[in-house]
Amino acid sequence: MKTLLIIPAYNEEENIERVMECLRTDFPQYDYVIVNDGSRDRTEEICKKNGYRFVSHPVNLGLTGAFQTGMRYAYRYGYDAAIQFDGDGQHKPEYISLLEAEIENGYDIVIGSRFVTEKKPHSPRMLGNRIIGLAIRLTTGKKISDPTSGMRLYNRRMIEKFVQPNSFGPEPDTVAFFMRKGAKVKEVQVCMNERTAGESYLSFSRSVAYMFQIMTSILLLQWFRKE
Amino acid sequence: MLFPVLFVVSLFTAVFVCIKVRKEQFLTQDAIYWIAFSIILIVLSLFPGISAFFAELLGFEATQNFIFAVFIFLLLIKVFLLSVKVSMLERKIDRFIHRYAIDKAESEDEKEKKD
Repeated sequence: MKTLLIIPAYNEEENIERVMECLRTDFPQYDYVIVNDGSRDRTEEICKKNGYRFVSHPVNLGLTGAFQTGMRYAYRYGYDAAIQFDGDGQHKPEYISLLEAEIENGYDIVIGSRFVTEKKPHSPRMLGNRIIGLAIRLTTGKKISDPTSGMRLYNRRMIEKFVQPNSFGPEPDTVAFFMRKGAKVKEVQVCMNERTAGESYLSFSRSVAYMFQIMTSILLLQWFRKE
Repeated sequence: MLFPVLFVVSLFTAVFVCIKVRKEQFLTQDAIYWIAFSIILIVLSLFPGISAFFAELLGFEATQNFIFAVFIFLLLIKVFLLSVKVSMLERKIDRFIHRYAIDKAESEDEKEKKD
């Protein structure tokens, strides 16, 4: 199976080299593409210098845009599966093969979840995670233990959906939508690194806005949406 | 006083739209809305009877309220259509950039291969 690692990178000059060196030396079997999302720092320069495989947005589109470019790339070059792999070093490549195995078992989306066998902590950070999980349960009847995990592997059928002009993002509402449309979703226990450099994207106000957007999408908009 | 003021304002709107169309700062299909808008305003200001009639018919307490309601309604429609248009533009730009980024990487690859 040919899997593509989509590595969105926006101003990741501090992280990208470390992540890529680990990937290239320890996991050379994986194809990857870095989507440089209009970075204003040295991200592109570093990619060129080291000969990394990358594509560059002329302007910043945000994570959704970067992910969609990656999906289009996977689509064009005939990959069987594609996974979002964060450029800040949060995701560990050793788990990818476990996720791939489930795609081969016939699942459409495989989520690298932090809470299949591990218990979810009762921290304020996990509150959003719980609420989204509940909304997914309400609308699909199925349990997703870690809906906000960014580590999701999609099969070819899903890749094809992402290149349609539907603006699906790599977010839990998309997963919920596809589940309602009959996609088979599986979760696999993984462990994730904390961010080692750079700034987390989610501040408090952003988290609230994010939650609001995801919840309206899951609870209201999806009923009207066409596949 | 309302209707003379309305007349002057609507006249200005019409003239302003015409100037913009002349200077080609407007796509024709976008200008149509504003031309229709200013015509409605001119008609309403020239014939206060129309507003009075509809205000009475629809149960508005004052004629002015009917005019405000017409304004709000027309502007809401415009805002809604603009919002749709912005979304579509955003989507088109996104798709354009996705394609552009991959095409560019591909052509640079081919160049390297030739060298």
